[in-house]
Amino acid sequence: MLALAVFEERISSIFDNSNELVLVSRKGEQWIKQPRMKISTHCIEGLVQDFKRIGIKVLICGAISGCLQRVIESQDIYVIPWISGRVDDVLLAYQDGDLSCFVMPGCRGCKRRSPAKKMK
Amino acid sequence: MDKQQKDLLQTNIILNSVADGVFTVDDEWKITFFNQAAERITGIKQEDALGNMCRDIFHSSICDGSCTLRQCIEKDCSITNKSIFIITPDGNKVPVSISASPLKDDAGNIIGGVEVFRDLSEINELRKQLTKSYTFQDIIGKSKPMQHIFQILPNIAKSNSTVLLLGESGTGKELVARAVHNLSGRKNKPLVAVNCGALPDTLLESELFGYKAGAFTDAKKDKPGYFARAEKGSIFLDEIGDISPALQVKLLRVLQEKTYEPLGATSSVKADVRVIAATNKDLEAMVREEKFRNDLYYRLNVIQLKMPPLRERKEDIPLLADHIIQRFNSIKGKNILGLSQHALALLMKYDYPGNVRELENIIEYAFILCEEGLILAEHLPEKFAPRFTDSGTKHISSNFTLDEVKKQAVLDALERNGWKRMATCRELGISKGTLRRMIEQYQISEPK
Repeated sequence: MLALAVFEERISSIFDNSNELVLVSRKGEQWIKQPRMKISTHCIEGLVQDFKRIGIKVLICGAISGCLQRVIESQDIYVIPWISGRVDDVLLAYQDGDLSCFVMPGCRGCKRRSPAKKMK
Repeated sequence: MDKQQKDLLQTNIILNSVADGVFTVDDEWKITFFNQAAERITGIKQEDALGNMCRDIFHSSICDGSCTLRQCIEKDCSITNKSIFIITPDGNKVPVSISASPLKDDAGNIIGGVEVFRDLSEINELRKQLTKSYTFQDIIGKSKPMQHIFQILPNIAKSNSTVLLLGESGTGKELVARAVHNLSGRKNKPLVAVNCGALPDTLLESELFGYKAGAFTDAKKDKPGYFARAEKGSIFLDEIGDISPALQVKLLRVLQEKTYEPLGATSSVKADVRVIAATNKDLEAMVREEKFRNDLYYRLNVIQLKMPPLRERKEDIPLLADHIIQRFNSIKGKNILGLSQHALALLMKYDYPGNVRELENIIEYAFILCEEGLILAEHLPEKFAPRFTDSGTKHISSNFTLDEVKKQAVLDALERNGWKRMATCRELGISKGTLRRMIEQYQISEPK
């Protein structure tokens, strides 16, 4: 399951304040958008539990604080941070395996385990 | 280089030399200027910032739906000192204070906006350090009497003796009782707090000692009392001066023999409970007037701690106010930065008959009126110099003469200082002789 932290129709600027996710599941070669899901980042424990319960494997988000990123990654969830842009455009780019055009200016290579290109 | 280019260069030099971050945006929210301090605070280089959307550069807590700059541009107004946080590319959360205004062309049309932001990390860190050294088990104070209490509390806690806490209402007796319990060897057992003044005598007895089934009509089954619940822990008996002579005898027995009898019981129950009692009454005087048993008083008065009233430790007011503001900020989800100089000066002049609790109430009131930024004098309750604005200017009709203004100033100062002339002199910065002459000249007399 892929999750994108969103604000209206774009990736939310910072994940630490984000309150909505777009969930996308994959069936074979097909990507299926799920209904949006409300989240609260005020309780990190609860958030991580929700992520595990839903089966989120990858999170695409905007800016994120180091400590929040580490907590999420400790649950074997792959975080692709510092992404901006319209949700549909980002999703298409992710499906194509290259998010490099959507990385926030000045944030290339920021605290990412591996380039966004490799994630799929 | 033409004049316009020269002016622009000069403006850039000036803005790059200031310590606060400054950026401007055009009407499409794209960054058109980004000074050196902005680079330092955000961790984003100018060349990365220019021409890009501000939300992709600033990464602030208000970018999604609560943008201050947007509000300023849409309402054509300025907003100052709003506390937010930003996230830098290395993952650090940086607290900043921002101010924003719209930018206009020569014709007065809004063409974008400017945001100025100040890194509050250092201030926040200093504030934390300061609060840490003046905080002890949730009790706050840097004044001598409070520092003395902080010093002796650990030893008092370890002693296991009965403690009597004296002090006016709202001075923090319960906080001290909790600190005594938390620092003692009983900290892993319960602390049971009982307000002896809140219950009628007969009910208090059954609540304290419990009862057996059949002890009275509605006693269908055994009920353990507060003493049983506090077994191996501590019991905090607040307003101990309010208990009846009959109950005084029973409490004396608990303290003397470490046993008590639940209502309707035929045998005694052992009690291993540390008693911490408190009152705002003068127990010594009550003993003299035979309203309180002297043997109980001496049993309770093994270790006595007197909590100073707030008016005797006014130097703690800024620290307490800051702590209360931070607490309300998190409870009420606001970003109040603190008190303005004038509001603080007014709070410092007040005597607080209700002590810290009253200060809390005053700040809670101010939180209702103050939306953001600093709490100003006009946000304080009516009793705080209602005729003053935060600029310290009094609304005086232009018809007033200089003498009338002077008379009013002396009258107000006397009232604020409870007609104590020395205190009034200190506040007004005049000698005793000058004050006496002014009182005579303006025929000011204390109301009966």
